[in-house]
Amino acid sequence: MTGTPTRSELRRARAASADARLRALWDQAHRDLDLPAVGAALVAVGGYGRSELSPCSDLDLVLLVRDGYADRALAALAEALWYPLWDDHVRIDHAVRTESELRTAAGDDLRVALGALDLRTVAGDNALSLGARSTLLTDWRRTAKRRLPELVDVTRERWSLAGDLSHVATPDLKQARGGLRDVSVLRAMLASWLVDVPTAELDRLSQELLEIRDALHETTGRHTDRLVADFAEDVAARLGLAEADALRSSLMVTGRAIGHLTAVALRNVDWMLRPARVGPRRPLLDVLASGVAAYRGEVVLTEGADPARDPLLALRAGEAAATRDLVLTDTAAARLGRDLAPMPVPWPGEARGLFGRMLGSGPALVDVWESLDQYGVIDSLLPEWKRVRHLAPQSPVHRFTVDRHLVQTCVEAAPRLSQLDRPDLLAVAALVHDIGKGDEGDHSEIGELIASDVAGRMGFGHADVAIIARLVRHHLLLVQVAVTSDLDDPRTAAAVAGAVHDVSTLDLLAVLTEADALATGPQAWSPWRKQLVDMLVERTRRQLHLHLV
Amino acid sequence: MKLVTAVIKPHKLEDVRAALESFGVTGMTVTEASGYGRQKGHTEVDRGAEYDISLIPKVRLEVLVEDDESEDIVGVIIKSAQTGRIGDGKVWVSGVETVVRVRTGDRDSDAV
Repeated sequence: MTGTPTRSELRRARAASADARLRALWDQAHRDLDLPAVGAALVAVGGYGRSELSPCSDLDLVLLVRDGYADRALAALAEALWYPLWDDHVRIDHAVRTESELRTAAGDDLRVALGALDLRTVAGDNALSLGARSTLLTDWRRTAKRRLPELVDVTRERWSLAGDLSHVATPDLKQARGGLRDVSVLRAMLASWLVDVPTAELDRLSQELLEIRDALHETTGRHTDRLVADFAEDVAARLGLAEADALRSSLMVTGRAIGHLTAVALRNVDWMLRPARVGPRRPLLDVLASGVAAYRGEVVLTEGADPARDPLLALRAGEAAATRDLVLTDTAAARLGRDLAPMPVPWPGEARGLFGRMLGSGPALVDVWESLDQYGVIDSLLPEWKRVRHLAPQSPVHRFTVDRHLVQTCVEAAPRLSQLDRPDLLAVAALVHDIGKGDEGDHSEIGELIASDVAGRMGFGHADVAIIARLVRHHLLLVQVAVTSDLDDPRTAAAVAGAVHDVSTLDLLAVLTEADALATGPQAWSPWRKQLVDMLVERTRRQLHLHLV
Repeated sequence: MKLVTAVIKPHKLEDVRAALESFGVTGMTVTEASGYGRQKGHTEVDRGAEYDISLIPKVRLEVLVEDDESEDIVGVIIKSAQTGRIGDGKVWVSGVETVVRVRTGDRDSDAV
């Protein structure tokens, strides 16, 4: 090693240093206790097994013994290993297991199974640990058809709890979608031989995330994976980046790529291991719309599809995928991004219909929008989107970046659209309500002008454009008034009635307000706030009805 | 030391906070709360409608003060929170045995 070591070299050096310390303890214990040279091994698992130790990482250790190893000797050996480490405040995650116990634990607990795939001998009986590794790997491959769906479920549940590395305001570098845990999941899938993953790409992305985690540990001096905003400047500086925004941007690109690889792998598992279809055979290619078909759980372009002559093809593909809870293949999204003909202005009615249905499809919109955005389709349909792409939220109440928040607002509004006269207007307003963020000035006022342009280009009539613009202008009105004005004063409801103009727009604004708050985060829509907003809406509705009669 | 607790209408929070700050109060705890008093959740504009007793959103505000300041503080809160309509809320004062600032360990007057 010459010059300043890289972080990658430092990770390996930390592991080598820990290995040396543990070997010394092992040798000392065997001398002092006169233990047999075979039948026991100290093995590293997880990140330590891969020799990837960040500055404050735990040492994941298993003291592995052959079945029948003497209990008393085992207890003495464990004591001789763990106590000196505890005394030195070394953080260890340790277990003592026989070969068969380790096999059972790996069979019962996915985390043990995944960690054991990286099993590496640190000290002791190498034949024992190599044998255990081989057995565990064979077990993993033999039971993969049962365990991979379990892994898929656990992964999706983790994503729903930790959010997306490229979009949440305080990302968890390990647990979030696109984080280091996903890298382990992909490696485990690869080890099963059932799913293929581009390994060189995965290694590169994993190294990038590890660099960021190392810098986070260096900054905080703690074993943490949460990149809290307060630390971002310091972490960025340690990585040689000019500012926190550059770090966020790099994290988004890496997180998005890992999240995407994982999502594709999970879908492959879904498809491969789906229950066999009973009944007559159907063609694999299921045509959904002109130029668009479903294939193995994903939406593809058909042979005759021609994006260069068919400007609505992207919306047909997006709508078909999102409304059926499917995803677009990368190949389809890339081709659409590259070749799609420009949308005529104003948009034809069919395009507005497809766009509105796609936005109102619910949670499946997130992945479909992500695919279209990643390959430039959104830029061609909605060039204003670049204003908010990856834009960090200004308030800690927000859990997502601005672009992801806008998509989530559509998702939250989706279940409420059927109650409305004009769900199409609400869907567009939900998508662009914060489009004015990022500039100096009131984002609602800036957004009103942009929304007006967007809605006009989409071909909405003047009255509809005015409603969309009004919704964007007033998307914070109900919450602000409900919390800060006297609801018992009739002038309060009268002022809101004057701003919204009619009951139909009030209904749209009420749904937008709730969807916006739910997409923001749990603090933004407490029962307390909801009750105040509901009271205001009800009183404004009465006010508007009074003027109707 | 005394703890002055007020339950007021949400829209009066800013007025009360400003009035207390002008009076020299430097800190307070504010919580979203719900409740009802004599009006049982009804308001003057609900006339003609049949309502069950409902919990009305309020703001709960707590201020720690010296014993001899508590009456003045109550006066400031009442003056700034009053709308004259039903549901304006309540203010009450309770005795506090001791107060400790977590960061420094300062006690009572030094901790406020």
